[in-house]
Amino acid sequence: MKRSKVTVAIGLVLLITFVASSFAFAGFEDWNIDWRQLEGKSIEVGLVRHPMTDSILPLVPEFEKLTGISVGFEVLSEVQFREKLLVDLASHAGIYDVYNTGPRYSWKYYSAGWLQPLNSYLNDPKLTDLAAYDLDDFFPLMLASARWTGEFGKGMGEGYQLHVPCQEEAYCLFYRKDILAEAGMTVPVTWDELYNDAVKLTDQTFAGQKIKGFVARGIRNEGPVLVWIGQKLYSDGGRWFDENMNFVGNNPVGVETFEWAAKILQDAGPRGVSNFDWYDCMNGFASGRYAFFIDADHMNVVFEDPTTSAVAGKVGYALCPAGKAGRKSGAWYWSMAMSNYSDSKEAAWLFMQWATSKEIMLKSILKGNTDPVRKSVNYDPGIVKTFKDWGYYDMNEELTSYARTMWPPAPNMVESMFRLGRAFQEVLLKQRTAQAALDDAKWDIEDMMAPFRK
Amino acid sequence: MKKRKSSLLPYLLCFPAFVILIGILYPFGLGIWYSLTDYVFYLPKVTFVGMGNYIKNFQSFDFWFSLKTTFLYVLMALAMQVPLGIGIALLLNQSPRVFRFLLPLPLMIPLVTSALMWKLMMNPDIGVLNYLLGMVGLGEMGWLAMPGTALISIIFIDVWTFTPFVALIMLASLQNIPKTQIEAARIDGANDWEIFLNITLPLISPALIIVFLFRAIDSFNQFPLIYATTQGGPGNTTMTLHVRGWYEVIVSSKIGMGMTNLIVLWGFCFLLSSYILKLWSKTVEARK
Repeated sequence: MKRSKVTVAIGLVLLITFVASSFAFAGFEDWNIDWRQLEGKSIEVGLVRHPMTDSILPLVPEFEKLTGISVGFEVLSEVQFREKLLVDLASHAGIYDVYNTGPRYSWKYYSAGWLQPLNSYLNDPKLTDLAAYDLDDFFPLMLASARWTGEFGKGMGEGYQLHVPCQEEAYCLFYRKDILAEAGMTVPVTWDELYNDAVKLTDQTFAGQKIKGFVARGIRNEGPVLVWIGQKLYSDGGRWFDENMNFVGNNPVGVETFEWAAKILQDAGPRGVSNFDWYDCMNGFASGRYAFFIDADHMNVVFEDPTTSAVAGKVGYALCPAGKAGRKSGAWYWSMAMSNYSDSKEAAWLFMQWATSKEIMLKSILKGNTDPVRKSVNYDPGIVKTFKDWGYYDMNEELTSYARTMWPPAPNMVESMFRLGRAFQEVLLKQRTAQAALDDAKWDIEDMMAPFRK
Repeated sequence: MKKRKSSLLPYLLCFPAFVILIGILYPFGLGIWYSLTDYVFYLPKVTFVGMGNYIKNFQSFDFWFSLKTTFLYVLMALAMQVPLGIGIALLLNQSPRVFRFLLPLPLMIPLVTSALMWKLMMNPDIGVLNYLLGMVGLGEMGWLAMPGTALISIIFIDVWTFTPFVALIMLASLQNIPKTQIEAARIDGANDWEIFLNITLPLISPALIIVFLFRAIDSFNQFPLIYATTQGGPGNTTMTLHVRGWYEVIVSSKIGMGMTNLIVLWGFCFLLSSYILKLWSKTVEARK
């Protein structure tokens, strides 16, 4: 009896410690700014439909109660949101005071004068408690990707703070632990190993289901080069642009990368993969049809949830395989930016500051906003335990050295990535050789970049 | 004083229509103007380039490919929808009323929903269509995922969605045909085919022409089906002028270039509409 009481007591202490550590930050009341200075104002926030949004939205009433600022929001799917945002910004309508964006798109928005840099707000002690907000708590690579001088092809990490990150997306290798164990394989550590293993597993039956060895996006947009093909290129020491912003993706490394990527999908991918977007791949992997999958790491939430996944508990996570230059990955950071056409910029900044604070980032990650952008969140005991239970790899390595924005800053970088997406489809569908497709893409991309060259 | 009041009245009555007309024409005029400039969203300077965008487009292989794809889409969609619609209308004209209520169901489904539903069914790996083909021993198809079949697959979805529209209009027109004419022809010894060719078809032709016009314009402008299923791919195989215009404006932010594609598309719609409306007037006149 005494023993059980001791056990309960220890359990309670551990529980309290865990809960306390999760909320071990100062409350907003302790911040050295007047949160109610703009009471009565209202702002409109435009957000993409995403676990990040789902986790932050329920917390918004807390902001309204804290500040007296009312927050309206609109949540749209990514493509629809970008279209509506483009119309809002280009027409200077100022519907959204705050909007979701990230590095590549912010370069375009800033160049067009649609985005309000945040430096003056960050440096205003009336509006920002820099000590409590703690910019140094953001992982340096993420903060760097949100800063830009506005110079074509350079100046990232310096100059203006264009936005503040609220979710990171790096790219990893998802694999089926049970299949690899049954086949007597280990997790592939090189791209060649991945190809060989994927081909060997293709059309084999595991747990009563015939599977394909590998899946990744093949659709005609920016996705394939962004989320998986690029990782192979970078890890082999390749790059898309040189320091003078000449497109060099058609050099031997680029050609070999396209050939490899097309071949693994042709030999080990599902039929019709040229039409697969992220949700086709994710749903297929979650239903157990593929052995390997490369895409955004935050899909772990879907795979680990037994209500959305038939493979919960069976998925392993690894950084993408190594090439000649080690393991490398591109990254995307969902962020919050301020519209230059907002008529409530100070209220908008209070919201952005609140939404990306340590407190809210921690609360949101516990509600499904993986993956963290702040060190204090990543090293929180609750998060460390959750990732450990999933068998997740070392997030610290991913966030500090593996993943970063690989594309040099240019207003029309998104357009050039779409062009590469088309080139990859031509190779995947065997319409052209990798060399011919990339040579043609180079011609178009150089034309796109021409207006920005001095 | 009285005279002055009455002279103002017609202008006042026309004023709302005038406002609506301006509301329609202003964006259209702006679109034409943009097509004559090098307007890019994120560049501060907008320069008048005259026909520069059009010339650049006409020199591009991709433009001509998109134009060819657009015409193929329109021709194939019409070639399937119109005969099928007429056939269904003829059957429904003599069948129980319940089928008439079922007919418009595909039209009631939002187009993007239809597209995504069919995309799933046409998935070569897990789609039900390949499963059914497999059951009857036929080979599996690539459907939307392969260059050779993507366009025809989208046209198939278009046909599934819009054939009921053709059938409904044709059915309404068929029901207006006086039965006495058909009975008289039958007494004179005409068979079904002769009755259809010499009585039914001429009498439904004004409605047929209008259906043709609506479907042609809709097919020229088709965007949601293509975007939701293939986004213009695989490769470039379903990149019609409308989708190309979308890419130029939304992805590339090139308003000038994007508008050029859309103005060319409008030109074809306008020419075709003018011709079809003239044909319709002649047909209606001939019936009087």
